[in-house]
Amino acid sequence: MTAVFFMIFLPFVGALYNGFFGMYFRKLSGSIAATVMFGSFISALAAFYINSIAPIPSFTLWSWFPINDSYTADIRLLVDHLSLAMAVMVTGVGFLIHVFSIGYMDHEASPERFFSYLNFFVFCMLMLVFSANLLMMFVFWEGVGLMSYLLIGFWYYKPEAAAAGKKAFIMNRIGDTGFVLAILWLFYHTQTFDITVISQSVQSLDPFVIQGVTLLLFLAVTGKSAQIPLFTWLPDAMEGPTPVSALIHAATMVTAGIYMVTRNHALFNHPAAAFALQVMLVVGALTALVAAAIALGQNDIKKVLAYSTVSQLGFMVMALGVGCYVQAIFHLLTHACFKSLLFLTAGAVIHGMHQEQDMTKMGGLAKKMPLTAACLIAGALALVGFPLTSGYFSKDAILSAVLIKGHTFAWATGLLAAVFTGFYATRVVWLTFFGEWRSPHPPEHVHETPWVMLVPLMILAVFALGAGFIGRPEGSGILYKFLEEAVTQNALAEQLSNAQWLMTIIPGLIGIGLGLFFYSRGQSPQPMVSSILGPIADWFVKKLYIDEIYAFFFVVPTKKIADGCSYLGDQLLLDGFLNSWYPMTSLWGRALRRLHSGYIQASLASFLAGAVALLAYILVRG
Amino acid sequence: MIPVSHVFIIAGFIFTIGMVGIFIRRNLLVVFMGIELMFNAANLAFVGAGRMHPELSVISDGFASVPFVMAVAAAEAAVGLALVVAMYRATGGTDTDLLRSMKG
Repeated sequence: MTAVFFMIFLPFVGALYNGFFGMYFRKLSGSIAATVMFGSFISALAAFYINSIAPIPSFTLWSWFPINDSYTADIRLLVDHLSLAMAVMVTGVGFLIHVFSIGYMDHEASPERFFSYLNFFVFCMLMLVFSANLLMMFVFWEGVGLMSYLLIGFWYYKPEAAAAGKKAFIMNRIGDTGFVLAILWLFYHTQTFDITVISQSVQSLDPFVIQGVTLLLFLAVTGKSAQIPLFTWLPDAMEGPTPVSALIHAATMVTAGIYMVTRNHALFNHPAAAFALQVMLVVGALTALVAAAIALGQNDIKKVLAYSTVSQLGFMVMALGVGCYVQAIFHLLTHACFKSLLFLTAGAVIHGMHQEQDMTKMGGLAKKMPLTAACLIAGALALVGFPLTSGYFSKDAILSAVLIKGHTFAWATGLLAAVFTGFYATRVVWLTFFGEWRSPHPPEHVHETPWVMLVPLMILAVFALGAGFIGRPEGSGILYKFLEEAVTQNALAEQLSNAQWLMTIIPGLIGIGLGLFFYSRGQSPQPMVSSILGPIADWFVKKLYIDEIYAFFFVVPTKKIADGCSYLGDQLLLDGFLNSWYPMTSLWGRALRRLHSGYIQASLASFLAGAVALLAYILVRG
Repeated sequence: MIPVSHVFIIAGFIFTIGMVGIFIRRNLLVVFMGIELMFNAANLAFVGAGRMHPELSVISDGFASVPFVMAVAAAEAAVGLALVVAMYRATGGTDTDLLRSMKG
């Protein structure tokens, strides 16, 4: 219990310190934030170890507020294997990213603001992970969203960053509506917010309620975990500093949706949730494919990685859609390693190139920063699912689970997405590190990444390549055993045949091969791809016009309505009413100002008249 | 023996003279002289009132108020003359009509 407590509240203390006193010791703020994260990570490991000896019970920190006579909402921490696994990942990756940020934010004017937000984000994320009731989970679900908003808009003086923050916040609100409605609906029927109690009483719930609640919860997932149709905020969120993209928009916050579904898997295991699962499978597969396709056309290195994240989240949602929660968590954990690695190496490249993000203006960097290049390649291999890397095991686990459950079409979609993944990953690596120098600046100023940033990258690279063993062998590996108690899921009935198994690993290799084929020979960064695909390639570059479609159908009409309300309510009614009074006021004013001639004698005369009037009044009244 | 009413009548005359002076003269120095006249009229009225009620204690006695009024009048004269000098420096004259910045 103590370990869990320290793990959660050390980042909180760090956030308070940097928020209130950080400005006096700017040079130290990064080190202090990283130190508390290190303490938090050690506490997480300690909690993990203690739990393996004697299970840590769930415990109540304090009573929050009574809802009715029978139920009181508590700030209560649910400690089980699922939350502990997530906590180790969050604090571990979080610690490495904090260390990296010390180097990345060294030119920043107010790093304490950044580190305060980052620490507070980790606190919120841990509270979200350990939430024992849905109400608390929702509060910290919003907490991570708020920190995401603040960090996307960290450079608030840039209009794009401010707009991106707003977009992320508003799109998440749409999803959160679903979450709130689901929570309240559940409370109406179960009279409790407690996740464990709800999970136990699933069987007594009306199937219609289950169906509605699971769909509403999935709406929340599409917002937070960036699925179709609410995914467009995530690529825009790349306006924030790169460590933020790595921590929040790749490794932790966006996976909160996956975690939430897994946490409430009892609801989704109910037969009545079949429709919601179906929707999740379709949405996940489509998201994986569409996002990977858009990633093909992006030139901004962070945008590619952002769409890649959306695509990988699509894979996780696919796994949820077939009821394979552990596989989803498995991919979540490996993805956290390799995608934060990819983002951080991209950040290192951007840092080294002095804030250049356009891949068409890079090239040939492998000679300048060989270690960074090695790390990025390691991350890319894991992302593609190159055999024996961590991504290979986890993506393979998801795809084979989808196939075994009999969803051939979703499986095929996933395979196509995997081909695209291989292609864009190769494209990123090639355009950044190989080929010719294309930047307008001379290559001399580019240098290898400093050690404070490089060491976290190397550690992450080791995990990105090697973390896959926790999910092996399929269905009975360490992770499956570890999560056995916390997550109830049906074991897969059969193993894949060798041919099918081969089918799930080949697409990534095909993608890599295609990427190498196109890019290793073409000198120009936009080689034959666009000439072969023609106008279709343009679609991908334009992100399939999804932002424009949303703007046409939602943003512009909303603005029109707002303008109408502003005209009718504010200008016409309110201003009209108030303005109708002012001629009268001004008339009075003009009449009264005549009294103020400014002559001293006139003022004295009125004073005398007043005195006489007062005297007369007193005399008359007696 | 002069009746007390005569004292009050004289005081009223002097007060009126001072007040009229304040209202009809534009020279600030003369306005001040009017104010001094009004002070002295009030003092005279106090003395008359003191004669009217000799049975009152010292504290509420009309005579006792006279020195206070004199002191206040002296202080007022000092401040007022300083104001006249300040006004002369600021506006170049002592005409009260020069001070019209409070015009609405």
